[in-house]
Amino acid sequence: MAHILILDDVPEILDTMGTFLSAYEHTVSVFTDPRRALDNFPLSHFDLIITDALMPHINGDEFICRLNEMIAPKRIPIIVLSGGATDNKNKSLLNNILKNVDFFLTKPVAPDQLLDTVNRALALQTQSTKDKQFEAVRLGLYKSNARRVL
Amino acid sequence: MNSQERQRHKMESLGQLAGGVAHELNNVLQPIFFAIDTIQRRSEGDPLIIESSQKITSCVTRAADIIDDILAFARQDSDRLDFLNINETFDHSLTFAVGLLPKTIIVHVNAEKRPSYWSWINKTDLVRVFTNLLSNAVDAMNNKGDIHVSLKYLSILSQGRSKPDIIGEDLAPGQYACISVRDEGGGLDTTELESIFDPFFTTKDIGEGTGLGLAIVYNIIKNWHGGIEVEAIDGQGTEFSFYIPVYRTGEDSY
Repeated sequence: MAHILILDDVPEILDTMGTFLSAYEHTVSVFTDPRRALDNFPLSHFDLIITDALMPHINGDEFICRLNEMIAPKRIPIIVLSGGATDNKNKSLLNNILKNVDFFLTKPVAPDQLLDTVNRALALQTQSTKDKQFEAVRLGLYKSNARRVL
Repeated sequence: MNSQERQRHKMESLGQLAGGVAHELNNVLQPIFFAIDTIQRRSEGDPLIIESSQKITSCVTRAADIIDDILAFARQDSDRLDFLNINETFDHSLTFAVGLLPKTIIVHVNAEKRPSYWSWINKTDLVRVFTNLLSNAVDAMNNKGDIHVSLKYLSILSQGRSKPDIIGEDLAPGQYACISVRDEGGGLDTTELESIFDPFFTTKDIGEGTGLGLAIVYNIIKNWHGGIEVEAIDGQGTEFSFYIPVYRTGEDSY
């Protein structure tokens, strides 16, 4: 199943969400500090990112921006689970985040809804890979015995 | 400081306090939600554990609703906008407003589902918009009949061009949620249509309407950088449609 990076500054959320997603056969790596998440990101392969919006040290919009720079030109789906920082004093932060992520949820999210969003996010990536393979086949670039495709 | 300023100041502090408390409480509720799922999965079918955890789930859901309501109350001041999911806020506000209508009115709802569409709006104000539009519709139909409410999403391609008849400032190009309330009442004539959003304009009998309802609706929608239009066929009904800007995630860009 998928390897998921989870970032939230509340340790209890990380613990319980980690246990919840592990029960559905996902592997999770959890971080309370966005700086550590960014340091560790290149060391493993991740299929999905779930992150808070308002965090100490690096805010959600900057974290996502830096993460997307590291991921490019590939795409990894990002889900934001925001803790209710929905005031208009955070307007530019939230608008920036929304533009650069795939799903936006607010706390407290029901476990079913999170699982459904995780499945949809992972399906996006699978579909995207299939589309790219199809494109590669069309262009004569895809070799079925290749170990890694694009 | 006069009493109006004092009241405003008080509401502002209350809004800030409520926002902070909501943030903290949501962070506390979230782990409970996940932990219940784990407990249920490990319960090995024990009915007492399953029943107890279902109770905890409904309490957590109720607590989350209370936090939402406190936030909405603390932000009654129309200048305070919240980043809200459009479909969820539409359902919540409409259900509340429909609950106030007489039982002789049937409301038909048709809402396009777009879970990743958000907007900068205010929940209390959306209830106010629905309450005003629905109560006008009920009056237009003499307290019985069908009202049709719809939510759909559309793009406005160039400044003020594709929808020239929207009242208010020209809408900037972009995506909008269009919410419509249509009644099957007597409609409005051209003279009434022209003055409909003017404060104190009313077609109701003296003492039955203040003539402020639609002026309030107009101000609320304008505050959301939206637009409003009205279509009336004399003798056949009236439809109010308002447009609010949509902010969305990049889910569809894969």
